[in-house]
Amino acid sequence: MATLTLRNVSKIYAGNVRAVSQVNAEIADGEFVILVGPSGCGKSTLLRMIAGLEEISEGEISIDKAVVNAVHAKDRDIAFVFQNYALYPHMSVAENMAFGLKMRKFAKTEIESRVNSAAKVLGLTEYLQRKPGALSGGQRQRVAVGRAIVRQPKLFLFDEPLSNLDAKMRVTMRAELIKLHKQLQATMVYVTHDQVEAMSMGDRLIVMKGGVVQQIGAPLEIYNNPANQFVAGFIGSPPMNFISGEIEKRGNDWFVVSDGINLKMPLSKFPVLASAFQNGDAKAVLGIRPEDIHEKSGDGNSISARVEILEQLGGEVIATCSVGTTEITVRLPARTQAQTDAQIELVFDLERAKLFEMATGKTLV
Amino acid sequence: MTTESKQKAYFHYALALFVTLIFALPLLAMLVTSLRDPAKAAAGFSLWPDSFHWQNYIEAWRATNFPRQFINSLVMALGVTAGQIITSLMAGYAFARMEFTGKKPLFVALLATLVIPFQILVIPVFIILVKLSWINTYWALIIPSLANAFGIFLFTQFFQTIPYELEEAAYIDGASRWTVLWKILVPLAKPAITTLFLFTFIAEWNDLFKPLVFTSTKSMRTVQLGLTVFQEQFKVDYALLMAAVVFVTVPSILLFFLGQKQFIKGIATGGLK
Repeated sequence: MATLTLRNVSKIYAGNVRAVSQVNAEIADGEFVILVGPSGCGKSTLLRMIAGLEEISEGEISIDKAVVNAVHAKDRDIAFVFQNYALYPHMSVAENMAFGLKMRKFAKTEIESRVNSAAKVLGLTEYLQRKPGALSGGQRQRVAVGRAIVRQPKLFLFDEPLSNLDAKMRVTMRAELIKLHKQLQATMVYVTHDQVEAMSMGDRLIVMKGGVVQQIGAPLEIYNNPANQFVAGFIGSPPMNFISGEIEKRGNDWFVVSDGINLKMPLSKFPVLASAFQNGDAKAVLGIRPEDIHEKSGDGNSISARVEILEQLGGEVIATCSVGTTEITVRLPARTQAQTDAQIELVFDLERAKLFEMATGKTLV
Repeated sequence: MTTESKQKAYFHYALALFVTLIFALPLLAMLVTSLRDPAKAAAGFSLWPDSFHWQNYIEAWRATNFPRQFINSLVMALGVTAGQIITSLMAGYAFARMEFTGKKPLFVALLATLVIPFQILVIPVFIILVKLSWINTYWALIIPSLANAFGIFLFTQFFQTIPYELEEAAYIDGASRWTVLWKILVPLAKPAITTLFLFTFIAEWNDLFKPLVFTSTKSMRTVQLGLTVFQEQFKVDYALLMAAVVFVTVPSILLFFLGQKQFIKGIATGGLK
């Protein structure tokens, strides 16, 4: 187990292409950190730099306070679980798991005991003599994890390890990995583009876009207080609704006005609105999550929307509605009376809404 | 199956049978003649054995120094084949996986050597061998053929099909580049190794030109050379001659049957990627 420190880490390819730019992060001993972002955001490149599979163009990576920039992958004492498993096809499951220990000249009895105990933890005991080709995707993934845990490395690195599995197996393996982390209390860095995986597995998330870290924080902290519009949109499923509109000041009240939408901002947001827009007449983006919009049940201000699509998920219904030219996704209870192509009255919980700067996407409040 | 597709199938089988016969006929003629009465065989050709003269084989084996020639051929063929597999594996790995200046032009130059026949190189090689005093030694039969562009090309193509992650996983597991090559990639390259083994072994086993030029003593004769000498001695004794030819041909045929599955897999692998 170890700490991991990234200081101004960058990866620059030929032609000054920055795949990763100035990443700073401190990962504590035993922490489960998720690198999350869309495809091509540099998260896998960063993970490969931590592993020593990719050269570090700028900055410093330290494992347990020791700078490892010049240390070969095999000497960093890390384990890496690949997206495509990367199991040695000509070796049995036991040989695959034992390979790293053999390379490090462990005693035969020690290798056997470690392989057997890892196989037990992962439910692979009966498959130890099989070749990877004779295993299912989920079993192969377990072998890849087993190969990592037998080594008892300082640091576990996972590169989208569940993306080749079917949906059901992914959920099972997700739970198993969480359990494994609890059991091992090891430092783990996990790359994924799946924000559900990120939210459910990590102690902390590092959200990346275009090679740049957008926000680092606990999953709920990021969900509730995104640093910018990108993070707000990326974390959460269905994603946050964004309404581009004018900020208007009428008397003492502040409004966000868009095509068919006229939203009076709650009192709690006034100070920020006043300092950011002085007298109004500026553009901004209002962000509101689908669960913060409700069907009107009593009195109060509401917005009339047209239901375009209803997705019945059993426990809830995801409704895609339109207000003028704006599309809004709403999470409705399973027993909703809403009908496709009918009007629906929606109430926005604006206390929970976010406002973003139009030009930069930065969160205002 | 419709009548039309049945007819088509019959036609294809008939065609395949016809082509098989064309290829099998010389082999059949060889086998039959090798078993015929030498006097009758000298008198005329027949595809049907009138009698089974197994004695022909014993006489042919005794008539010339076949055991020694078999050993010479084996040493040459196995030596060259093993050498070519090792050099091709390592060079193929370098071309497929390592970055170095001039890699592309070097690879093109290497492929270009495929069009240069050995006959063009024979004089300079002969001069070198004379200077090294290697004429009439196994070195002369083995060393000049140790590297081969076809083998290197085959392994380069093969290694390019193996995912990088396998190697990276091995590096993280603590393996060196050398270990990765021999413990991870080579076991995966079995089809390519079998292909090169069969191609090279059969080519070397059947080679007449190299031993003819680089050796002159009786004790260094290979089977092909021995066969030529045998042919001179037993010009009209077709039965004995064919018995000797059977001896020489059997190892190639046997090897092909043994490695057929891997061989075809290897050709497919090399051809597709």
